Amino acid sequence: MTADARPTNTGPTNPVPSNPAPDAVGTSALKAPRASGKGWLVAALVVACLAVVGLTALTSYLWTVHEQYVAQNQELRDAARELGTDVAATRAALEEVQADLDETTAQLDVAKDTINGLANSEAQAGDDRLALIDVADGLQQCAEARQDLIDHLNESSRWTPESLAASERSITRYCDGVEDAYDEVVNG
Amino acid sequence: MARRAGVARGVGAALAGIAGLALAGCSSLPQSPEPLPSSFIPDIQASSAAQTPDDIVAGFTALEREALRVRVRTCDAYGTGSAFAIDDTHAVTNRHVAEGATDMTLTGYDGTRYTVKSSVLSPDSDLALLTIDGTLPNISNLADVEPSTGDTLTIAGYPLGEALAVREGPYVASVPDELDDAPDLVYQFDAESHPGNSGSPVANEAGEVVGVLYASDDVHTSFAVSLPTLERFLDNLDDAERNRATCESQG
Repeated sequence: MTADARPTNTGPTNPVPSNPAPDAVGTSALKAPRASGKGWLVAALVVACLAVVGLTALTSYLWTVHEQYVAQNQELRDAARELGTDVAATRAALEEVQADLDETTAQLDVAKDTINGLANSEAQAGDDRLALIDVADGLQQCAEARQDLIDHLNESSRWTPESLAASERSITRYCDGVEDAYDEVVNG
Repeated sequence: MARRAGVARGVGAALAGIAGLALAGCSSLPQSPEPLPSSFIPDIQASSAAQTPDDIVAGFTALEREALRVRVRTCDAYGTGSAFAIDDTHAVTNRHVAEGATDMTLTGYDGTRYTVKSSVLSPDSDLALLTIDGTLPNISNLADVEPSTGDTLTIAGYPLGEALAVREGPYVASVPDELDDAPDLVYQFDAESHPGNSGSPVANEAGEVVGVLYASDDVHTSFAVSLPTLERFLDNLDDAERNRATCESQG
């Protein structure tokens, strides 16, 4: 039925809304809101699904990384504990070696002092020995001189009393000097 | 149809936006930990400073081993001094130590004795060169350069003819030789020395000989024949005087 086929009258009538005249635009305008709502709904569902999938993937990834860090943390703790044990053992060994070294150094210092002292004692003894040899030579010369003087006295007729007295004084002076040198060597 | 296309474009844009955000967010996500190294212990070489010094033997430094004690007998006295070897048969000491000697003996840090066969004296400085019968094992090196003010100088010798002793102090300056009125300057430095130290090697911080100790105030100031004077003496031994002493009989 079309608008042209509708009955008409002349009297007052209730206005009856007439159907709008069919046209292309009017038909589309009535159907479009339903299609658009469905589309957004589908789109929202798709986005929601994708968001769920994405969040699940993200959570899974973060969990995996978390597990890796936990495992590596444990590995590092084990390594740190092992290194700590090694450091403690090394420190203990080092302290022991240091103690040995200190003791050896102290012994070396004592040995050095001993060597130095012995070398000095030997040198001093050498000095004394040299001096004593000289004193002994002097005493021998003194004894020989006195023997010569005794020989001269035994033949006093051949010498003047003055020359004998001068010889005696000279020999006595020399022998006194030797005795002084002996005292100096012996008594310092 | 046009509205559907608009929805599709909207969804596409939303998805593209989400994908973009996701990609951008990934860059701030924590990454997997890097693999651990096979070892946490670095390869460190022991430093040479921690090694035992090569020049220590039986607790004695090279300079201590090089110092020699000199015993001198003259016609009327005994004396002691110090010396050091410049090669395996020659030692340097002071002229005033060796002059007039009829007999000289050297003694090393370990008590080893060496007899002096002959000696020569410097004509113009307080230096003498002794020739020994035997071989001297510890030979001193002469420095290439003179000391600078403030350098630490070390004496190794036998003060008062007693045990080996080492003293050190800073180099002060080169000063005129007021004791012997010699033409060359001598080194003055702040270190204790005594009679018996005469002829001691005076060494720089490297242990190289820079001078020969010859005088002191017996407290804390010492004087040494300089390195150039020592080098000139050793380079001109033909000019040196023979050290001869003849004693008259005292019988």
